[in-house]
Amino acid sequence: METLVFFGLAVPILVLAVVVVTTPHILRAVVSLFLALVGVAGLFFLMRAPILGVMQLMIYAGGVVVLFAFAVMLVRRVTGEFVRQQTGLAGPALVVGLLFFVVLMGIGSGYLAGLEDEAAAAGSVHPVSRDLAERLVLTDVPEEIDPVEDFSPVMIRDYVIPFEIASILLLVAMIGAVLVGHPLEQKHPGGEIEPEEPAEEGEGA
Amino acid sequence: MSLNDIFPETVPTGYYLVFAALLFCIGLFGLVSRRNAIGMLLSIELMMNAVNVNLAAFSRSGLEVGQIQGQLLVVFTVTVAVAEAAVGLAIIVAMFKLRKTVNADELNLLRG
Amino acid sequence: MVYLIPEFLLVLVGAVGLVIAFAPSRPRLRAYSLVGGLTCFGGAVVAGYLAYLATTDLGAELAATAPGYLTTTLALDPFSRVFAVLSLIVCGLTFLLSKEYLETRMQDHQPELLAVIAFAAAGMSFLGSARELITIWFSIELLSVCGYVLAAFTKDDERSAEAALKYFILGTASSAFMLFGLSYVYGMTGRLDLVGIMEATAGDGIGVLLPTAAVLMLVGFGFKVAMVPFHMWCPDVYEGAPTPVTAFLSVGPKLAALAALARVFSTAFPHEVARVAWEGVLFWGALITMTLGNVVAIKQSNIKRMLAYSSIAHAGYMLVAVLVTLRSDLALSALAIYAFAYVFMNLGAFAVVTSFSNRTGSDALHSYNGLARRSPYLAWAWAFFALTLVGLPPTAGFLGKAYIIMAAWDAGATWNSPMFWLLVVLVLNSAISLAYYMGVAGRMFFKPPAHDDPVPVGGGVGTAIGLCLAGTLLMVLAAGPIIGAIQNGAVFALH
Repeated sequence: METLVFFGLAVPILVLAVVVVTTPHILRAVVSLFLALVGVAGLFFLMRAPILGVMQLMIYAGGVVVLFAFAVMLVRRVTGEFVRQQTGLAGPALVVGLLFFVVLMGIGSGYLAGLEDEAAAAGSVHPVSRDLAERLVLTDVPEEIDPVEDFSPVMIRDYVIPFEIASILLLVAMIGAVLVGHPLEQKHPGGEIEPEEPAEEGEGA
Repeated sequence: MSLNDIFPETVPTGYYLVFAALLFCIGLFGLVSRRNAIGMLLSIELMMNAVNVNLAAFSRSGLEVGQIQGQLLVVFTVTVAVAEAAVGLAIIVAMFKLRKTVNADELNLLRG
Repeated sequence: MVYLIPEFLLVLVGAVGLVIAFAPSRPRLRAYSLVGGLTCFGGAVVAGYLAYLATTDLGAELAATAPGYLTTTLALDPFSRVFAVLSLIVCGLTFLLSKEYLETRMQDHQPELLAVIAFAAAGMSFLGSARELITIWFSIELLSVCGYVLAAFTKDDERSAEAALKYFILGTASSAFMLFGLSYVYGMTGRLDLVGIMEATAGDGIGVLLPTAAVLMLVGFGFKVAMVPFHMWCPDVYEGAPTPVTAFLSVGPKLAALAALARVFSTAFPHEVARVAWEGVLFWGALITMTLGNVVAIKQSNIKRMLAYSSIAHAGYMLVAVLVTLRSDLALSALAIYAFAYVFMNLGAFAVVTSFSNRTGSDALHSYNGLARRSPYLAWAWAFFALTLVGLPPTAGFLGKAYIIMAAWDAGATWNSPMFWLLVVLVLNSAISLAYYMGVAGRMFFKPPAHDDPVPVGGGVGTAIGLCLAGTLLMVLAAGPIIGAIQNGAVFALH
């Protein structure tokens, strides 16, 4: 049942992803990306990572895609015409993409096969590898871990320094987006922001 | 191989990994093939999402220690993706205002 | 807590910059660059003391009783504090050398630019001491995002916008690759701290997937370091970005990424299969990087592009030190010494370029003709920085190269071994670099100038040049303590 849901989400996501990278209409690409991101959020819920699912919906699907939409609209206002997505180099790109996938899969499956051979030959493998092999095929999700409850202590206690770095990062991104995207005519810092800018401001939250 | 092997009760981690690898490679294809900076950025978002799926899947099936860390890393990844998108789109918009184009092969002021 | 004073100071300096950006008066820039610069140099002294402290019993005691949030994410070893010294010095020098540029070239947003540089320096310091992949990746991203913003800062300049766009697209793509590799490392080991990864991969069971993941991670680092073939962005961004920003980008992200590279790969992947993979990639990476950088630099006609290729070459030299981290105890000291030398000589060279372009608005090589007559200070300073960039004794550059060669020798570079030939290439490359550094100096001293207008040197950038000159000369004195601190605190892998 769960696997059916997985396929029901994964296949549309991949189709939408292909649309994102091939469609000539940029707004269509943005909308497809939005739907694909919602689908990925569904996968997170399926993986019993509700926090990630909610974050994906709120920040990614809700924030980033809106940001993209704003950028497309802005660009359209500046150039006065609809932006068309051109695709050059499709052949080489296809080769690069496929090659990467084949190599990755080859290494991954070769790795698993190697583990089995080794286990057959020696009767035992390194514990970590065995763990990994089991984890790749078996799917027992330990129920005793509550992702929501266990999440915040780790984030705020053990990982407080990356957390603080995140705050600096978002601060810099906010300042940077405002300064760089600021209209040229306006010479004074700290002045009011043009009506079309607020999409770039919402990120500090 | 019966139907039950392909559609087990719970999703094997390997399925997620193959899915993520596919998504990453579609993004890579877009990154190489797109000439438009916004299109490139959209492709990069796909690649970042593939990474997130990978991390969440590994975190789900992880060891005791790994459980939360993987999810934590996803949270941080999303944060960074947002920050990067904000800065990147601002740069793209600024570029548009100056040059009326963001096609990568028309960016040729800087040459030796 | 005490360990984080350098990072606190950098963030504080940045935050103050953002606040005073709202102050309307003009002297704010002078006051901010001066006070900020002095704060950084003061902080460097504190960080130096912390590095010394980390080698003592008291330091060991403090490290042992440090709270969990410090020990999970940061390494409390002397190397990390030596690196904090470096970050503060970089930030202070960039503050000083930016002042005149900001006054002459940028009408608004002056303090913001310096503030972002301070935040980037904080990221650099964090990256130098992070011992766990979330922090490492996050510090890299902080540095990158600051870099994109900085490169785009003069947004009415098309070249700046173009440079920023290229930097951004390639940078985010490389970080996606790095993260993809990182996710596999996490999946295979279930750990994110470097020591944990090392422990989890001890043994034979780990096949080819781990080296693949490690090499994918290397893409991200290679981009920051500008290792060939991930160097394509470097000349364009260096040419297009505002000159003080170029000065910062040529030292900050590069050195921080090199330090993290040394720490990540020697701590997390010391076991056979993965080690062979990354050492192989780094060997050829170092070889090609230094050669390509030097050879292409000769043909450049823009001094910023020339320095960009020269910085690629220097990254190649430093990669040799990273390469031998596992085999030689000297490698980390060599890396630190070279990093210090590189900061002083490269920022010095860029300070000369900034000072010149402030007055003339030109970065073309031919406009440097006859500079010795127009501004003897700049010409002599360049001549000196050129000598030390080449690595001639008795300067800091020589010291750095000597230590790298010693470390490689210590790692077993016997006659006719690959390492031996790498060193031969290194020495040959230094000889090649003589051509273009001295070519510029030759223009300054022996070619007739187009006109005789003097090129006055501003107070801030002049001080920066002076400090860099002093730094390159005094490195001989500082080398001993630096090595002492790093060698005595041999807790690199475990803390």
